[in-house]
Amino acid sequence: MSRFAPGTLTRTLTVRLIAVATFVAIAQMAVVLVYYAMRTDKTGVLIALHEAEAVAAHVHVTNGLLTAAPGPAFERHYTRYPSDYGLQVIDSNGSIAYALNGELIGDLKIDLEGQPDVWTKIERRASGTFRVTAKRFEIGAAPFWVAFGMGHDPAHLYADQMIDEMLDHVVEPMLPLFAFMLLVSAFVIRRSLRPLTRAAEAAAKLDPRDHQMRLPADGLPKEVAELVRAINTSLAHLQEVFEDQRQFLATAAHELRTPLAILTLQLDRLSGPTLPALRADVEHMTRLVNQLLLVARLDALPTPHWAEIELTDLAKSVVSRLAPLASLERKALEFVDEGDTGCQADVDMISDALRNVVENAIRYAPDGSTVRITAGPGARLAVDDAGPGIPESDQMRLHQRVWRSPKRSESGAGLGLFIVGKVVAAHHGSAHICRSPLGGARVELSFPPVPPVAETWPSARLIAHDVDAAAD
Amino acid sequence: MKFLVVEDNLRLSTLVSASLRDAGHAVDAAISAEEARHYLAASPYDLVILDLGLPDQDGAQLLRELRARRQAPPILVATARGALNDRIQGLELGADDYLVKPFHVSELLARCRAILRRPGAPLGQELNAGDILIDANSRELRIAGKLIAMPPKELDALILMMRRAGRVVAREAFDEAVGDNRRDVGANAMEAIISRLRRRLAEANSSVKIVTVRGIGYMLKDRP
Repeated sequence: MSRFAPGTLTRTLTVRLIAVATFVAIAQMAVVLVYYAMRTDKTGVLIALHEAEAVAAHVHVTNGLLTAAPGPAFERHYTRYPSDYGLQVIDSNGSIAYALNGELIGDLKIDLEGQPDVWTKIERRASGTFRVTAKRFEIGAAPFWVAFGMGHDPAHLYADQMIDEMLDHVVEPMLPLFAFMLLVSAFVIRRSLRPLTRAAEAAAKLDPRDHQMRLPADGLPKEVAELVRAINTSLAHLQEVFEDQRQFLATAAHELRTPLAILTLQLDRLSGPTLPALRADVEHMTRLVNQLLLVARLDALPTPHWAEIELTDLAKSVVSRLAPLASLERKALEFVDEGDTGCQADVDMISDALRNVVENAIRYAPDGSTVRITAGPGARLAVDDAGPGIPESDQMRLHQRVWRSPKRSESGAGLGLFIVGKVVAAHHGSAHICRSPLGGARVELSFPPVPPVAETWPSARLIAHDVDAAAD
Repeated sequence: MKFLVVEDNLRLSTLVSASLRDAGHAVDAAISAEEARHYLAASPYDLVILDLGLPDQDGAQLLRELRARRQAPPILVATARGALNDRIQGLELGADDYLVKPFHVSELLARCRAILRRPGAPLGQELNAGDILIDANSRELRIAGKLIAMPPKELDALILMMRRAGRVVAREAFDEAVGDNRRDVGANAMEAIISRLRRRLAEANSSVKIVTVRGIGYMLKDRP
């Protein structure tokens, strides 16, 4: 497997099939070669027949006499090797009508009587074995014979013959078969792997919030089905963990927020000089608890609930909700709508991110200054303030994957920025911080209009809780 | 007004009840869904404040049950779950409003008042915020007990903001409330109305101020 990695299984299988087919073809050629090399007599006959047929095609009858004119290309071996190759065309009277080195074969007249259509005789001569093969042909009703004789084989007719045999009996029939096999195997492999592809597609769409987070095992081949079942078992475990985590968060939220609610209400019923400071402490703690719960939730379920949303609506809602806080902290809020803010995103997550940025801005901007929230142009949100800017060490939080306890140099804006970074990353968006024209920091969040892996979820409702346009 | 507070945390229940009693309401407190059912069967309530995390049952179940009745009291859900999805679910199940813990007494009272003032709800058309008091029927405005004359458009804008004291009112909402039917109030005209209203509130030495949220709308704020 490793030799072909990394590649698709389809390719690996195809390559291997081709290798096997090639090996089989080579083996077959070798077998054929060995076979012909061992049967020299049979090959000799084949050579003779080949020559005889070639000459016979050039035999004509003129005025009752046989003539043959095979041409100089045919005669080449005979003129070049006069002591090794010989040929005779013998008519029905036994007279030689045409000959090339005819003396090598000698007089065959007697031998021809009563012979079968093809016959061979082997003579031991002083120069070595000499083989004569004759074949009977007919032209019109008149029979004639072509006799071919061969001693040594200086022109390598054996080798030529074997290559011809190879082409005829191995290569020609194998080539189309080979091509056919390739096509069929590619198709078959692709088809057989389709369940795997489908399972992979299903896996890509898994959502941990789905109660039935399982891959379909129906219709899969046994081996793949086993893999899918194993994955499903792991998914079930994962889901238990998610469920536990969700349960824990719900409980933690309740356990933490209830005492905060008691504290808040208790303080509301008190009076005294230390009250404002106490209230601020409780507010701060509430914010911290909310942020920590949010971080835990983002860690547990970082997949957004995709929906078609308008960032303008979202930003209006967040700004409206924070207006009382801003007014309490003596900051003015300003909202600018640059338009064209439609995108696919998770309303809840982005609202949380924006709220954290705006809360930070409200907290650190000087009294009486303005915090400006801009939606658009495009799928972007920006928050400008006139504060002291955000320290480097806090800015790092935007790009952190896990939360680490803050250093002493940090202002406390870090947790909010960490949340922002997580939300933006889950949306495949980007966040950056620069100087604001208002004099402080500008935090900019931008999102792809359509995220790379977006599933549109059915609930695209934004509850504009604090900014209902209609009168009661 | 008679309220039922359904909350399993005794300290919180006591504080909420006390705050409501201070505001002049009669309050019963139930610590479980079971107990809440007994209370609801025994006497009618003007408003139920319901915690979703009850020990014996999910508060959402009780909410669904109450909504199925014909003459159900309005319900304000107060819960520790803060996620938007929970909020949508709560409102879909028929809660009249949704308050996430922790909350301030003032916010609790404002939400209760808003629910009770809805059409058909028991509370009359008397609005108040800080030292301002308006009878929405007779359109009488009193600041710190003194009767003040106010031009109709300014009064309309003030009434609108008083209905949602402490929350931002979008500019679009002013168009509907202040403009006559034929044409909307332009942005400049609206700013002029608000600025006149501000001046009059300042002249009357009111504790209430108008906060501008530029790009969105206006909000009433009681000076702390």
